Amino acid sequence: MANALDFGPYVEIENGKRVVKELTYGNPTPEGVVLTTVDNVVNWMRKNSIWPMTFGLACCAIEMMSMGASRFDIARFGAEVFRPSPRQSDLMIIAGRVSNKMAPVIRQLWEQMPEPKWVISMGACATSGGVFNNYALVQSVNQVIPVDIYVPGCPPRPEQLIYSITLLQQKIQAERGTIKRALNLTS
Amino acid sequence: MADAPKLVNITVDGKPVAAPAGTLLIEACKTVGIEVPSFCYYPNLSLQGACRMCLVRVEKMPKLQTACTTGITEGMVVVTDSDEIRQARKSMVEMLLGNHPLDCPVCDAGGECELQDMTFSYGAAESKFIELKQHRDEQQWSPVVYFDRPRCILCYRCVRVCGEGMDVWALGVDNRGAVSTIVPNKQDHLECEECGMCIDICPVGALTSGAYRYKTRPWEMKHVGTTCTHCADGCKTTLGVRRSDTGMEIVRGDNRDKSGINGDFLCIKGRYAFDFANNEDRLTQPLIRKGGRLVPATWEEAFEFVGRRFKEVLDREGGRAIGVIGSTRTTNEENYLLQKFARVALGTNNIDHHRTADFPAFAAALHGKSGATASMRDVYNASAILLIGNDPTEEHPLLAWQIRNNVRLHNARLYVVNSRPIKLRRQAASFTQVTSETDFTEFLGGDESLASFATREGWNAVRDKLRAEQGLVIIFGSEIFGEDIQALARFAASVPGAKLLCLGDYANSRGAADMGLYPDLLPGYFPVSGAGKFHQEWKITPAAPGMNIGQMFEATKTGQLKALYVIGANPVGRLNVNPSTLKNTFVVVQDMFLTETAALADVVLPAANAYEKAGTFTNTCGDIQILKKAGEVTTAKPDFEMIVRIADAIGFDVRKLVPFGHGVHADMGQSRGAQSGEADQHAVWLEANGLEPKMSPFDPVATLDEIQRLVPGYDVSRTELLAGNDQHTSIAAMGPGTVQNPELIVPAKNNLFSSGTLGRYSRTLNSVIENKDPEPADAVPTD
Amino acid sequence: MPILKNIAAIAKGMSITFMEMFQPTTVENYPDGPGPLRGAKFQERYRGVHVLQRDENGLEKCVACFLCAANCPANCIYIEAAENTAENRISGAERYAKVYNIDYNRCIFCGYCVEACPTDAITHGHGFEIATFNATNLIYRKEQLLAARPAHLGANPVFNSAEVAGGAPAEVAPGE
Repeated sequence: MANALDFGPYVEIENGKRVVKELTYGNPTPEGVVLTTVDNVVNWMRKNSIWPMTFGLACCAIEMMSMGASRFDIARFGAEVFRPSPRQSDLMIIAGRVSNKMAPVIRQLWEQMPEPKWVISMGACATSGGVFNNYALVQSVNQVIPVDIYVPGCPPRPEQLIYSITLLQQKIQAERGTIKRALNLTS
Repeated sequence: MADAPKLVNITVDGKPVAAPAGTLLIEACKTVGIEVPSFCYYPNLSLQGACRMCLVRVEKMPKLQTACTTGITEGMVVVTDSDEIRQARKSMVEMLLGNHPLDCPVCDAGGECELQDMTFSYGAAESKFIELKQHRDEQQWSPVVYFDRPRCILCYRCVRVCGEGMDVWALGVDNRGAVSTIVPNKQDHLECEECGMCIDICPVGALTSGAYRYKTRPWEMKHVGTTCTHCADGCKTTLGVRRSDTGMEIVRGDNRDKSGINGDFLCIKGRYAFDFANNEDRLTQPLIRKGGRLVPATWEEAFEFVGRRFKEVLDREGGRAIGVIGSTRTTNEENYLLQKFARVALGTNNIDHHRTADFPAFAAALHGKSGATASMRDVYNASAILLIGNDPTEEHPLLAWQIRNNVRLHNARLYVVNSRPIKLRRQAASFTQVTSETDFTEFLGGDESLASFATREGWNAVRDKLRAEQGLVIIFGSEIFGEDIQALARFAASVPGAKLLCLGDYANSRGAADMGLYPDLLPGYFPVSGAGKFHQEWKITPAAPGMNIGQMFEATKTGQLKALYVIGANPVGRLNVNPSTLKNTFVVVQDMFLTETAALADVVLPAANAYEKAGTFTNTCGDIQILKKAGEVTTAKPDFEMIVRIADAIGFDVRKLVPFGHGVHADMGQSRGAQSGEADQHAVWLEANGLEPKMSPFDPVATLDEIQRLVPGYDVSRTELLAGNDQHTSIAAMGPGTVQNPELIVPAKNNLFSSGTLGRYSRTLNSVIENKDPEPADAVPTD
Repeated sequence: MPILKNIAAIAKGMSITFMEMFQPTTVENYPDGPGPLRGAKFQERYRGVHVLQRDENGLEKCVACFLCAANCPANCIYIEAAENTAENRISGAERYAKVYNIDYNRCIFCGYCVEACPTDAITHGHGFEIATFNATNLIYRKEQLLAARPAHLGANPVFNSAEVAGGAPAEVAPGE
């Protein structure tokens, strides 16, 4: 009965450990020198100006605020501008537990955000419900909106959140077909 | 019965207590809710006075007294809790912990250990002893019994339960005083019945189970009290289940709350032989024969295929060309549904099962004589027992326990009549060895012509003694059938208060019989030809008796029978059917494993076992008990669901088969995997078929409603049933039964370590058998 | 002289700004700082990714007693126990954890498991870079949690995050 589940391709990391290969994203087809260079420039601009939404749900929001304050200072990543409106935001940080009542609100806010947009699920509650395995909470926010990065912790330290933002920057930089999509040239 | 015993009045902790004279102080305290701690005292075992945990202060007695050995006397004033007593108990715990290894984290008893509880209650966790503890290596005494000597606190419970309770006497005490040690009967290993009672009763982790060894911890499991699926006695066994990657895995069986029909008892099969459920040979997907080989298929494909082929036969030749063979290990609801499916959906009476006792003749003998059947509890309380044939020690372990302990504790008189010197003769007041049990029965019934004069002398004496008994329980095995049961019933009628008990062999042999898995009998032993409730309710029922199991295989040879539907049975393995006879028959088998029959089938559907579904079982005495869902394997379906799905695939309206929907009791999830999303799975099917998703046609409780409505004698309290209590059904209220062809009765001949197909696939049972002295295994698995 | 007053006020205010320019910076230089923590500053007591310790012989300390799992408020520890044999000795006691998974999706790093552990097998390390693109990767298996080498070789492996494995899985290049 063991080993019945297979989570897909694995990759080796150090010490012979194996982890599930990270999801691929972007357009894998080659695009030529010009388009990829432009893509890189656009991606570089985007990744250095990720504007999060001012949106805290619970205790994790305190750490999120702390990340914006002087000791951690996400201005270093161009992400200090917490926008009060989803229409001006690039990043939604789900900072706290998601109650069943909040879920449709989150969904609506996410839909109001303009593309491109990203979501970080911050903390155990947002990722899986954490200790609150009960009727009131959505067990994982990815049942409501697609999540790009999961940050474990209860709450995660600001460093952990900064780490996730650096991961997000990698992800943004690796994206292909950016300019085509921006100009509505993709099918 | 005797007069009410004289009450003695005592005072315990200021509370007045009245109890019969001769009651032990520890028991008297329990009646007012005062628990006196003890290790060595165990109800219904002899007194030991070894642990000295039960010390109490009795007024006017010089020292603290042990409550477990002190009988109450008039005017006694007892204090069970004071600083002095706490100090004494604390010292005892400290003494016991003196050489007890503190390896609770790796001890299998951790979390269920009485010594742990006592240490929490009385302190003494820190020891004054600084000497090194004496270590002895753990010993394996048998495949299922491990002994860790330093953990033993010498309460001698295991020795007493093995000897007094089980009459095995496999454990003993070596040496004296502080160096006493428990030893097995064969120096370094045990030669015994492997019942595991010593493990169950051990208050610490000295005796631990090999099957559960280091698997998990008690609090990690969900404990489900259900009914054992092995022999026909119907013990309650508590299964510990843990989530696994394919559902819920059963990791332990034990007698956790001792609340069942079996009290303290559980045999090796109830305790360890659940592991067939986890056997790697288990079928995991439907198989369809294509090009001579069984190849995996999807469920939808399999049901559609079976339905189409059955429909073809039905359209061409009608129901008489289809045979149905039921199981002795499926629930009452499934058996009822199966015969209803055969009679209503297929329109045939060609239905039978593996008969191990002549229940129709039993019904015929007792028709209308209410109160003449004995329940399992009656056996324990009867003042006299007549056992004709059978060897309960091997085939009915619980029955043997009830008889033994009735004799030991209540001084019941046991009369054994058998052609073999069975072990229970050791408890017998009289043992009559006969050449044939049927001769003796006919002699009892009044026909004295058969018995030779020389032996009749002894028989006369036994009969006269039996006639003088009040409250006699007559137990008989498969040796007695047909007319002999009538003779026995006649004899029972001549003895006031006598009750009868007929022994079948499999877990639901009685249920299969009660639910009408006969070609000539409807549920409740009503003849198929008569016009009754069933005909009104079901509208159509074929009136002519169908083929029995033997005739069915004859008919496959001649090509009369075009299709065979076998559920949880292995007739090929039992009847030695030539595989070529089934060549032109479309065979559908529902089973857990690829048995001899399944290997010949055209479609094999993997079935869930009795531990993986809900329903009811009727044990051989007629005691009905609930079966709760413990394990879950996502790759198998319960037989109930499969029958409904096949009926649906034939094009039969499932509403006519299962009366689900309005007007029936819902079981509120007590018996089903309500938490495991099962209801949702059913809702998907219901939605797809345009049915209201309130109650499911796969819910056996709807069928239980119909059984209770239509089968007389099964109208037991639903509350008691759901609470897990046993209730006696009345065969007297049922139909007239029949007396006929006894050659179809083939006893299972299971012993303590075999259990038909299930036993064949139980690793624990096999390992125990391998460790036994080699004996030719003549028992062919037969279910 | 309101203008002079205003200039004085501005000078006073700017002087604070000017003085602050010579104060040491308060911004943590994570992630561009030196060392394995890349500039993050933690207290010793920080509870990061768990480390399953080994004893002085290099055997696993964990005996699969399930007390951590029992104590876990988030129910995120999954263990399967097995028996040590002479040929295959994994831990110092009779049994060992054949499977030891911690689901960091649920773990709240409360440290109850560490407090419950009778053999001091499970401890908190300082691993914190465990954010991931794929939630499946947050179920850490025993191989990921085990201390890399016998504990007596490290200075103080419990708090010495540089020495213990089990931090973030190495960054996997996004894309193909």
